Amino acid sequence: MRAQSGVWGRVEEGNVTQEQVIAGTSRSGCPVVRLDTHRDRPVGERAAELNALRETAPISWDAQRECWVLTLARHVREVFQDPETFTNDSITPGDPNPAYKWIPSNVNPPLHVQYRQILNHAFGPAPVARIEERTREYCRMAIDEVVETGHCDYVSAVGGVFPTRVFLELVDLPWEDAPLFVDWTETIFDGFFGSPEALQAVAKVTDYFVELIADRRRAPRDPEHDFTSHLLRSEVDGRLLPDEDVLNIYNQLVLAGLDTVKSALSYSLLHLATTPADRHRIVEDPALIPVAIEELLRAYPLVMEGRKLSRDVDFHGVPMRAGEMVMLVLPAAMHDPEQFERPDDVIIDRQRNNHLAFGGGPHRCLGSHLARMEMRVGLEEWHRRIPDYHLDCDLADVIERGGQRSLRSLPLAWTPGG
Amino acid sequence: MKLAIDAGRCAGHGRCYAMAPGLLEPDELGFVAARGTTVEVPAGSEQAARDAAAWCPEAAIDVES
Repeated sequence: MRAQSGVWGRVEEGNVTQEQVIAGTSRSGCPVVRLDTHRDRPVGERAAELNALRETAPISWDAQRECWVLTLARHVREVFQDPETFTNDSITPGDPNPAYKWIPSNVNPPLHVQYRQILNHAFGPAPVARIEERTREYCRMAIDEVVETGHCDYVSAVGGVFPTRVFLELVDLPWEDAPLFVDWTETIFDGFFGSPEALQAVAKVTDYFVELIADRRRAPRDPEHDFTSHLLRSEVDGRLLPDEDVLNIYNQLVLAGLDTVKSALSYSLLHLATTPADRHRIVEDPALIPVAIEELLRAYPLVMEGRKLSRDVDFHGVPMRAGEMVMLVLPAAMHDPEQFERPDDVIIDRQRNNHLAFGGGPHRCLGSHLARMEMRVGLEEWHRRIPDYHLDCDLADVIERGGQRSLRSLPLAWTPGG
Repeated sequence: MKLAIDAGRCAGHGRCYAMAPGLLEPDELGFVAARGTTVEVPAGSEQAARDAAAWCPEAAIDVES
């Protein structure tokens, strides 16, 4: 595999880094690795290592999390499309028996589809289209705050701000509460899931929604205009959702939908800030943005999704046991040369881009329609106001956080006024 | 030309109807409304149809000549 430059860092030909392969050990013929995903790293380094891992060993065993590591696009698709074998009993590699239950992520088909139908009330294509105007307003508000200064940290000023307001609007909550959620989600995702600070922030999120649910039980609102009231009036298997289900739904929405959109926008702006040719194309032809978004999603997948085996299976020659977990390395799989031509190049108008950055199968990201709309509006509005900008630091100083993929900050600069 | 759309595989990514809006549309849940059926492709729309099939991350759409 040839060496890469740019945001992907440098990759040695066919070699995984020393840290990764525990020399001399294997499990059922697969190398044993120790994947480091907790530390902050310069952007692109980790992705480059995962690419190299794919070339060395399509299937490996992570000694740290004690799970199988899958890196090929066709293997990842196969897992997503087989929910009976690869269940959602846990989706967190390393935590096969989680103490929490996310709804709908920890629910398997066929029950799972009933929850999805309830949630499509807010997340389907039609409600998402209805909220586009408000999304544009919230995005403009955020950009207005910075356009005259000539610089900002995109992550904290824009990317992390307007999606949070949009989410609150979507579930009929006050957009002014956005700073609370920005703060809580930052804490939850900073580092790893089980830290004391993270658990405290999770508790605060839970408290917020416990109070909300209690209020709507006391005084139900019109379910057409109040998402919480809609949830409290919805049924699964003929029974109304209990408070616990509604709480688990909200926890999931907050955890799944805020950090991710912020990150996707941030990586997009990083790419466009450092690749003038692509930025100029988008400025000259904003109609290109939807196709460009698909390529940016493919180029910078955020999530390392897990699945838990329900039965023993021979997976392409590797014996996997019931109860074990697999980790789907989307960053590596979406750069699989078997599926994508010139996979490590960002081809901003790439056609027939059938990536799985939003996952696949029945658990395909519920928020994908919303996320795509937010990304489109975010890129349209930014480039309309600030068509010419650059990275206000060295690329080597752009830091990717450990845990779920995200940029710590993205300093951008431009001529004041745009 | 026809497009055969596998209902079991369609996961509602929405790439097909986003890329070929004249040919395909969403249902309320975000699945392609024509899933589980075979869609007749009007003359002149063959390229759009092939593109729509190729964009599907689940390989749920078969092009039948």
